[in-house]
Amino acid sequence: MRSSYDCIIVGGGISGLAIAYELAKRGYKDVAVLEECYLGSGSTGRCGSGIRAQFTGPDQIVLLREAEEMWVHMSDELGYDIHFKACGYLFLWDTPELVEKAKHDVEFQNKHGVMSCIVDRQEAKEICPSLNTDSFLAGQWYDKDGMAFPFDTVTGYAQAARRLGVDILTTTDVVGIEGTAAHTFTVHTTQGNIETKNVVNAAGPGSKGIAAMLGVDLPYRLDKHQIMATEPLEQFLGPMLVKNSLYYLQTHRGNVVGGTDTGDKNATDIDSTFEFLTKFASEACEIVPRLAGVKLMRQWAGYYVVSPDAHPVLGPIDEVPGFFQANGYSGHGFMMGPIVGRLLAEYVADGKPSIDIEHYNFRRFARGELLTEKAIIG
Amino acid sequence: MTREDEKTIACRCEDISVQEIKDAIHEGYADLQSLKRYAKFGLGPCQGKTCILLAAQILARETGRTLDQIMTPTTRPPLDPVPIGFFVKGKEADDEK
Repeated sequence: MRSSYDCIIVGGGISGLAIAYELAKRGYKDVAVLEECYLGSGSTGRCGSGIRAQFTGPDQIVLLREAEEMWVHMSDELGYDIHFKACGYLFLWDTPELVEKAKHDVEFQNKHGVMSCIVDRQEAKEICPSLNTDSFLAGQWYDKDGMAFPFDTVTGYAQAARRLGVDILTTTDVVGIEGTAAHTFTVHTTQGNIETKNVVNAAGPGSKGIAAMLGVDLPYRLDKHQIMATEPLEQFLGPMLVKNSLYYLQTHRGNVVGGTDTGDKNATDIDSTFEFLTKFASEACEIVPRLAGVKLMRQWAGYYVVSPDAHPVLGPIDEVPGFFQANGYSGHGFMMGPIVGRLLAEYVADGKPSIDIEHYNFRRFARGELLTEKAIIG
Repeated sequence: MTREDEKTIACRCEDISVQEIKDAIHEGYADLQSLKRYAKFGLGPCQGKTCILLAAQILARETGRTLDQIMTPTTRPPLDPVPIGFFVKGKEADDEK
C-alpha cells in the first residue's frame, strides 16, 4: 500500500474489481482496491450467478444486453476461465394474466435488441426435459442469458488488474473518508491513511455507510435473500428456471444453485432459516419433481441492496466532485459487473461514459425521476 | 514439490491434492477463505468436515502461522446432505395449519 493513489475503489467484489481492471486497461493505473475481508466476500460471492437481459425497464434491458456481449468474451479477455455459459433463462408463467403480460414484455425486449420469445409447454419441455408441464401455462425464453462462476470471475478480474499494476488490498477496512478543500480525499483505513483524487464506492451492502462518510445519504434498504446448493450431479437441467420469486440453475460443477424470496425486508442479519428450505423445496419440486431426490448440501444468504426504484446508482455525485457510486443493484450487481466496470472507468478516466447512463445518477431521487423495473426475482 | 504431496488427496469429495493446496498458497491465496474458493476444496458433500482442518494445518505450516491465527470458514446448514423432498410442505403439514 502506498500513501497516495489517483483512485481508490472501496469494495473487492465484482464491481470494484471490474472498475479497477477497466481503469488499468485504459492506462489509468494508479489505482488501489480496498476490501474489508477477502475478495468476493460480500454480495458477489453469495449471489445466484445468473446473468440475464430479460428485464422490463428499458434502461436495464440495454445495460444487460451490453453486459451479455462482454460476458461471452470475458474468459478470453481476462485470461482466466470464469465459466460463462449461455444456458438461457426460462421464465414460467402460470396464469393467463401473467402470460399476457409476458407477451408485452417480450415485444418490448425485442424492440431493444433482446430477442426473447414466448414458448408453449411442449417447447419449454424441449428446453428443459425435467419440467413438469402441469406447473405452468407458457414460458418466456432467451437463449443468450446465462451464468458465470462468481469466485472465478472475481479471481479473473483480480489477477488481470494486478498484472496491469493495480494494488488490491484485502482485510483493509475503510473507517473514515475526509474531503479536502483542494477536492482530494483522505481515506482512513485499518492499514493507514491514503490520499486520493477519486473515490469509487463499490462496497455493496456497505455502500450506504461509505457514502455517509462524505455526507451523501444513499436511500437503500437491505433485504435478506437466501440460497442453497445441492450435491453435484451430471448436467441434466439446462437453463436457469424462474417462477415468481423462485429461481435455480445448474452450475458447471454440477450443483443446482438457487433461491426464493422469504420476504425479509430491512434485514439486519444474513442467517439461514428452515422456513426458506421448506418454501424453496416446495416451489422447486413443483416445477422439476425429480429434484426431490437430490440432496441439499448447504444454504447461505446475502443482502440485496435495494434502491427506491430497484435500479443501481451509477456515476458521480454532483455535490462531491471525485466521488463515484457503483452500488444499489437491488439483486443484479453480479450480472451487471462487466458493463459497470467499463462505464465507471470511463466516468473516472474520461469524465463521460460511452453509453448515456445519466438517468442512473444519484440526483434522480431528489428530482423524483425514478426508473421502472418489475422483473425482480429471488 | 514432492510426489507424496501430489498423490496425497486432502479433499476427498473434490479430489484436491496437498500439492494443489500448497501451489495455491504460494500463488498468494494465504487466507483459508480465499484458498478454499480458489483451490476448490471443502465444497463437496462432506462440506469440508474432512479437509478444512487439514488445509488449515497446511496453510499454517506454509505461512509460518499458528492454527488460531487462521480464520476458518462458516459452517453452513445442513450438517449432512438431505434430499430436497424432505423439506417439501406435505398435505399433513398444510392440514396442521
